Amino acid sequence: MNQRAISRRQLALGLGASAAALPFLRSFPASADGRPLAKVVFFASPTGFLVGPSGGSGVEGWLPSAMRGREMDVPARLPEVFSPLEEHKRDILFLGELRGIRGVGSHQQAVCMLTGRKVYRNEPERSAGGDGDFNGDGESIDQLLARRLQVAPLGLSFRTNGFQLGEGRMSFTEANRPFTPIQSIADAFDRVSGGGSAMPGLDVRLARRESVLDRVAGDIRAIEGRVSMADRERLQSHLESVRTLEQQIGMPSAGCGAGEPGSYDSTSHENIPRLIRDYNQVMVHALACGFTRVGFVQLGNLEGSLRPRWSADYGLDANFTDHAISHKFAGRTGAGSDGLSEARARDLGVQLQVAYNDLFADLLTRLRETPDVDGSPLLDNTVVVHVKPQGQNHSTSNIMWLVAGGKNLGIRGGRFLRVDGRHHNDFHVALAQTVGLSDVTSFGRGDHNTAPLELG
Amino acid sequence: MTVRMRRLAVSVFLLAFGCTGTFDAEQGEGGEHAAVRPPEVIDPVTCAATPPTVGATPLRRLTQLQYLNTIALVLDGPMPADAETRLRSILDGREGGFRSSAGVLDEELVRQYLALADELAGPIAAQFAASCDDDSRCADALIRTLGRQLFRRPLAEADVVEYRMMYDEFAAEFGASDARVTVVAALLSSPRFLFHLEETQEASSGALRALDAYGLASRLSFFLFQSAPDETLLAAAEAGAFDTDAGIEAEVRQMLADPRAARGIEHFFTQWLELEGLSDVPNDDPASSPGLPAAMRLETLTFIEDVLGGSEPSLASLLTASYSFPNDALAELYGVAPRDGRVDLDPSTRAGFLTHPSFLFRFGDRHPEIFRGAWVLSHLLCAPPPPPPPEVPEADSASRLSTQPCATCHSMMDPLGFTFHHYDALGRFVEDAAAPAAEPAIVDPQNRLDPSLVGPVSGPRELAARLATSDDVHRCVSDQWDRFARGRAETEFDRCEQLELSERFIASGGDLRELIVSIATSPTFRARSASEY
Repeated sequence: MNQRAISRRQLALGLGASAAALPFLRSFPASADGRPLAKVVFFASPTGFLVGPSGGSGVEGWLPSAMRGREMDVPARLPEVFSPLEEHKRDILFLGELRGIRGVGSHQQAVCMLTGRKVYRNEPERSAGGDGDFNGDGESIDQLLARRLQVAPLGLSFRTNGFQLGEGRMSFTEANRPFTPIQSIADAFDRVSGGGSAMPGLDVRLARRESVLDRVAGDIRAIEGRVSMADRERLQSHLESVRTLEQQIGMPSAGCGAGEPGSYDSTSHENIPRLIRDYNQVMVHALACGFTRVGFVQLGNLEGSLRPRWSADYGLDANFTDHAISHKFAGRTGAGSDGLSEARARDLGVQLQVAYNDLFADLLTRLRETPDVDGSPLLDNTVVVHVKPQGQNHSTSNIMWLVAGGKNLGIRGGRFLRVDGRHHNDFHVALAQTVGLSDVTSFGRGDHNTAPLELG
Repeated sequence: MTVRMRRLAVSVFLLAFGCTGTFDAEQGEGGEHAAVRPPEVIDPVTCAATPPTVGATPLRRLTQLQYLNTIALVLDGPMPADAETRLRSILDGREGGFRSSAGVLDEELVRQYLALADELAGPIAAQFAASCDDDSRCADALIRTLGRQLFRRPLAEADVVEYRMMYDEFAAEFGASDARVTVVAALLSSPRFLFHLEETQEASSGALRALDAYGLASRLSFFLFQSAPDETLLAAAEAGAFDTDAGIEAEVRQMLADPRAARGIEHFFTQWLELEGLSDVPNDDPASSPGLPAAMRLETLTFIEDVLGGSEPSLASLLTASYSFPNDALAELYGVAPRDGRVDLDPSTRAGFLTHPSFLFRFGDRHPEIFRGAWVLSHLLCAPPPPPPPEVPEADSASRLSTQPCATCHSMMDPLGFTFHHYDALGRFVEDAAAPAAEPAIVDPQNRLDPSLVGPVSGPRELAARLATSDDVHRCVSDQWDRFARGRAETEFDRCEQLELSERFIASGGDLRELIVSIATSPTFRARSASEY
């Protein structure tokens, strides 16, 4: 009865009008020879690791003291900020000296780091004195991978609102089109449960959602003729989203239990560690059950609006924002750092990075302990990248990313690698090629591409 | 062939035959109409000689406040907490400097709106059904009444039939009560609810295409009341109240006199003065207390409401009036005895909102002069300083003003901000404050300002007086109100209209209520651009 126009994006996703092509079902089982498929997860924490290569002021740098050249095997003991990663260090490539996007302030790097481009600018808006939101200027790497691998990406984040509109976004389907992550634990579990669990009244809810979406599509058709041309295009795009959502209704459970989420406030700073661990669990479940192959776990606005009131988890009890701590760590005032001494900021800064790496380690542990389709650890077939928008001291120099897992994809961990100011773009190209997209030879702005980094 | 395809085909035809220059005549379905360009020069004479134009209206969805207030029309009591949390997680966009959501919705946001609709549908349906006796008649009434209210216009019969079919199918399987919830969920999920569709009449007149009565009633209601039009307004629209100039003006004045008009006014000033951010300002002053930011906000909003409701609702009054409404906590900051209601302050130290604690406190205590100066430059002079460089080094006042590249921008901001150097971070007047690093002044190294504004300023009182008598300041404020009302930045097609509005604002003596009326009754407020169709 319903005319389902197949959109360009649906075709790109390989979805037709057939009910079998549901984005989050196990619609891409292991390849014909039973080998697991390549997967990618980004783990994004705010600001930078703060410590520079050589450290200073009583803070240990990340560069192993014995390191001379570009590359070195992981030392017997990792620098303090990486201490939670000791058990995983042989699977981690410590990628240091990355350089941020040129011509963009440190507060906008988060919006740029996965697109490899500057910020999208809406010129009439800016000239009239408004900021607009700031958005990425192209498709981000996670969206490119998802699109090419024909999966729907899973994004999970602590609430992304922050100091300025736009700072909370790192994933974009195209220029000026942010991809909004799920921001509550209840929603995250819902998303990967696929409506299969036995909840009372679930059949009514599913039937209702189906009816509602059908009616929404009908409403859009009813008004299309009356609205402006631009509005019609926007409504078409809305209709595409509705169609995609319709296809996700009533999926049977794939038989992998994600468990039951606890009931707690996903928007409170106190709960961030618990939230991120639960997100890690959801993400691993989604990968293991073949719901997706690409995702990200994000610790909210990456310019650092979170407040580590985490005495229960990490003995951290600071009501300062990550941003304020990173400002003071760098010896700078402002940003709400009043009342915070530089010495304390250094302590807090290191403790905070340790906490982030502990949450990252939690993700790696779960991936290591969960089998892929052939029994090998998920981690070996998944490239897990801990990304941060800034580097040393809240600046955009000396950015360090951690590339973990992916052993079966050729990622060679267990070493520190200094890339001497190469941009993220070179990493993104290497990543795309690692998961099999050999035709991707350039990404983002051209002048930030040199050559793919050698991850193997 | 659609109009658009025909236009493309014709332009390809012209190109193929070697035509050059812009293609600016269009063949519409029913004959020709020339596309109207705005004049090159924006001045009253040239603008008056040019037919009116208006910029294109990007499709916007309801903001959080508009959504909240519209739900209040169909649901008594506060919004359920879970629903409100979810609504707050769907962030508003920003256009023209104010909350306005023109960005595209991705799947996750659509899903959030659907979840929100699910959460609200139960209580709304239950409330409606409480007054029903017969299920079938209830279903019809629900569809028509809530549909009309939520879509801001009556549903066409064909729509009613479709919704009724959905209800009947659902009721057959799950019963009437669940079916009613489904109807409400569908209404709340529809783009007709979520978006400002602003439908127009069929024909254009020159470059304008008039909104239909419901479209105009909606635009006015969302501007003045930050809410969908209530039944009274919808009925007025149906009765032809918005069909004539006089009718529109009468309705607008009536709306402005309604207590709900305070919402629109408060929404403008809360954003313009950045009052929402007060509780995030870091502050460990011993004289402070957790309730202080809220008290500051309340004082300023009460003052504004009082001025705008009084005999001189002008910009000048807002800038220069030396009375306010400091409650207990603020009375201490002012150094006056705590008292309810209006308090007369010392005019030599207090002049308008620029000397309110809310303004003085807003920017923290690290070099507040920079930010106080930047705010005045941006929001009262419409000459914003360029953004700071990517890496801002720590520098004291003297070096900011004497070394490059800092001095280029700081020479504009800091001296202006030093006008307030006698006021500490909580807004207290400090008689023997340290001398500032530069003489307080309005400085204009790039010749962007009216020369009569430029020069030393002895303090906020003189600053306020100088700003209050400036035409440029009035134009600046008028332009911002216009952006707020339209929910977007202006384009070249709006500039003549903005000029007209600002000239009227000046001629009225800066009467802010009359400015609101002028905007709401302007010929372009009731229209969209014909080129959009």
